[in-house]
Amino acid sequence: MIQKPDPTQETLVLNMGPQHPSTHGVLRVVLHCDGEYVLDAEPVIGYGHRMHELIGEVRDHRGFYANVGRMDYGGALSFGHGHILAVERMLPDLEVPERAEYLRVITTELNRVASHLLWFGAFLLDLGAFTPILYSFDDREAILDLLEHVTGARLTFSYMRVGGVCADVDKDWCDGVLAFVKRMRDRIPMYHKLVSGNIIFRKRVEDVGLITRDMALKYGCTGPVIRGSGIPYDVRRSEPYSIYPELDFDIPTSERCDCMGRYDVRWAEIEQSLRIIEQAIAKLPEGPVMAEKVPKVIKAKGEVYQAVEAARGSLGYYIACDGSTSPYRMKIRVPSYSNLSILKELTRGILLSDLVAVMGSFDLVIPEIDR
Amino acid sequence: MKILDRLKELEGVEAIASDYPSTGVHVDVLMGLTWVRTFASLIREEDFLIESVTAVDAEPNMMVLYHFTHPDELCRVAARVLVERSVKRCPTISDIYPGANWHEREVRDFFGIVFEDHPDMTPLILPEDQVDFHPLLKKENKIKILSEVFDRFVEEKAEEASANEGEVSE
Amino acid sequence: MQIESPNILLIVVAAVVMVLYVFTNSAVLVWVERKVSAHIQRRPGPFEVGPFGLLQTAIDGLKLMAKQLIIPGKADKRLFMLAPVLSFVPPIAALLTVPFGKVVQVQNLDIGILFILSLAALNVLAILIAGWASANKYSLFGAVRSVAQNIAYEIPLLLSLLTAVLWMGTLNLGELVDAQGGFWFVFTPFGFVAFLIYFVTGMAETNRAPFDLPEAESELTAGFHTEYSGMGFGLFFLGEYTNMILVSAIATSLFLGGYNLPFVTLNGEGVLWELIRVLIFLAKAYFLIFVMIWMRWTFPRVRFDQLLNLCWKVLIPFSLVNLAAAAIWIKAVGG
Repeated sequence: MIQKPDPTQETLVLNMGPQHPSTHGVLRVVLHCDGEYVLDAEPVIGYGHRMHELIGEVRDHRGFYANVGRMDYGGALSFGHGHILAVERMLPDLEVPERAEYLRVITTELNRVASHLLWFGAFLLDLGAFTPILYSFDDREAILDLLEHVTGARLTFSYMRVGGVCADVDKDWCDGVLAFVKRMRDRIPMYHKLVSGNIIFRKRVEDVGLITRDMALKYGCTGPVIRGSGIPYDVRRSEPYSIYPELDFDIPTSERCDCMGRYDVRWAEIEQSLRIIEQAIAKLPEGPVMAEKVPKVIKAKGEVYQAVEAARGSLGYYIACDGSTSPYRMKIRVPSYSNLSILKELTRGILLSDLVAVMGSFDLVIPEIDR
Repeated sequence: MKILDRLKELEGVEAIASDYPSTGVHVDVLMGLTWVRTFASLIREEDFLIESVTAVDAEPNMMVLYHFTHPDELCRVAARVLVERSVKRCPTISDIYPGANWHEREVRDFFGIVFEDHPDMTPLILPEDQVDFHPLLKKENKIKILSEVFDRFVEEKAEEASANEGEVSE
Repeated sequence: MQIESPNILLIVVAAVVMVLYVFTNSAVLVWVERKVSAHIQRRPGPFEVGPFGLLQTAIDGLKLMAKQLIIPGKADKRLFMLAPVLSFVPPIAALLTVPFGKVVQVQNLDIGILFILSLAALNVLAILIAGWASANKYSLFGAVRSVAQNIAYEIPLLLSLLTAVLWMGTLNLGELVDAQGGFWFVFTPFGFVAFLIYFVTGMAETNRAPFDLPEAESELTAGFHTEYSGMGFGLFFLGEYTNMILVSAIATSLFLGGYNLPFVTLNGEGVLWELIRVLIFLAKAYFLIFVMIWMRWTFPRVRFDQLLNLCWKVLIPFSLVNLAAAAIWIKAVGG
């Protein structure tokens, strides 16, 4: 609730956004400040609202697929993965070739690394360090080149299809991915040396924005936010989908509960994603990348809920179908929406600079929240 | 599943096991309006994590749908409650699950369902001056009967139609 | 140093030369900052306009001058216009007393240090006025931060300069340089501590990262100069770079032996010798500026309470102890 300023109290109402460098898009936060201290922070969202859920009820399943990548521009592939898996759940006869599943996972994990690198740069930018974003974009560029080669896009990927993926990869591409994994592994110590150990950085993020285990559950936080609070909840492990059960990887958590915990978790996740990519490339089976018999018109009935782990947390597609070609109701549960709703409780009484650090540690993508 | 047994003990809550491979849900719950808060408190005790609150517009009643999942074990609970189209009121769970706060506001934005005792029902995603604009309400020619879409209501249509009606009007 | 009645014509000519120098200096420094930051960030930086992109800042300056100066409707117009001028002029006036060489010094005042410090203190007033007159909340936040920061940091700044003044027993900048000769003040333990403190506080005084809180762009969009456009912003920009050269010039004269090489005093006569001296002085000053730029593009920004804690709990006690120790040493050993 946006409170009216109380004239008896000397507080200042500050509208942070919708055009502000640190809100990462069109998010507005109404702040009630007492000097530099934030008494109340109320996020105002919806500036980038496009009513994707209604579009989902109008278009058929395949037609809507192009929309999902537009929600989370940072990790578009996991949004696509979730949607395709949800649709495939409604088609029990469809057999997706294994190679296609492997390619989905490889590209999604590459995208996850790219998304975390984007977050890393933006987070440090929020904290006033300009240089790290250009370093991380250097690596992100390498990922985008790889993804562009196979998907044809660099940001809003539409790579997956019902029944497989749209393009196969060759050996050169796999070698390129492995070369990138090696390069990224070599670069990680450099990032830690440049940023993680820096005293100014640590002072800015340690013990800032404490989310307890209980708070994380109550608010439905997911992704690195909940894992930074010590709960090892990762859809890839808790509710295995695709080929993740066949791969060996850890779910990094941190007991710190603060911005530093979320920072540590994301870096550990990049390393785990590299492990996943490496294993998936090694195990990549031969064969087709599209199922042989894919229904031309998808007419399903019933309801499905499909959760996947997007870069920012648990992403859920709820699709209810009435037997026609398009869903009767399409609900998209996005991770950042729940993660951001905790902001009001979290930022009561903290400094303006800490608010920026806390919002940065959530890795917000506003079009995803607004949908 | 422990939660299924506990939910079966509640009289106003009908919990059944759902077919996970085809629906992605383990426990399917149908409850009356007065049981929403009891249900939410119980599921909160079991450390469930709130995923979403949403609604579906249909005839004769609208359906509010809650999704919960457990962070440690594989268990997703989908809970349904029917809301009359003419009344459009539902108890809030935003004090039990603060994370439901925004989801309920979103449901009010898109469907016009008012959550009773919710601290703030002003539009969240839609513009503040468009209080009566609910984009996800189905048009006359598009709206379907609840049981035409959801299998859950097909089975119960014959046997428990009368009981359902009774609960809703409470 | 002899005191004569000031030659008005000389001062006017010198002032014009100084303004020219400040403009050139800022243009070069902006180019240097962009090139250095670019190389730190593994990108080429400006290279399109002129050789090595040298003319980039000239073009940027033209762009700024061509832009409309927008004054917000609710702003206090007179103060709004005054603030950029106030931030730009005092550093130029202060530069008039800086001894770039033995002869290349416009006016050698007996109270040179005091003169510079009193002019430098006007900077905070300029920022305060800018923040207040803009009628913008972000600007106000920037102004409030700036006042708290600058007033806190002026204390250790003064204390560290006082150590140097105490050590050499003069306020006259020319004499301060001569008193050091080849044995720079920074070679003594007191001088070293005072220099470190001075450099940190100097960066805070010029509002450079990691202490750029008044304009922290990720928190306050642009802080005190949010509402300034065109040359209004340009003057603040010039003022910042002039302040940088001023801070480095003071550090060079008081701690780094001015125009003298380490352990070598340059006393030669003639234009050539003077040119060498000026070049040495500028080399030192620009090296310090390079370090400032280097730090800016490496470190995140500190938080407001951490900034003040650093000042009140670390810098002020240390500089006080340092000053007292230096005083005792002078009494006991006879420095």
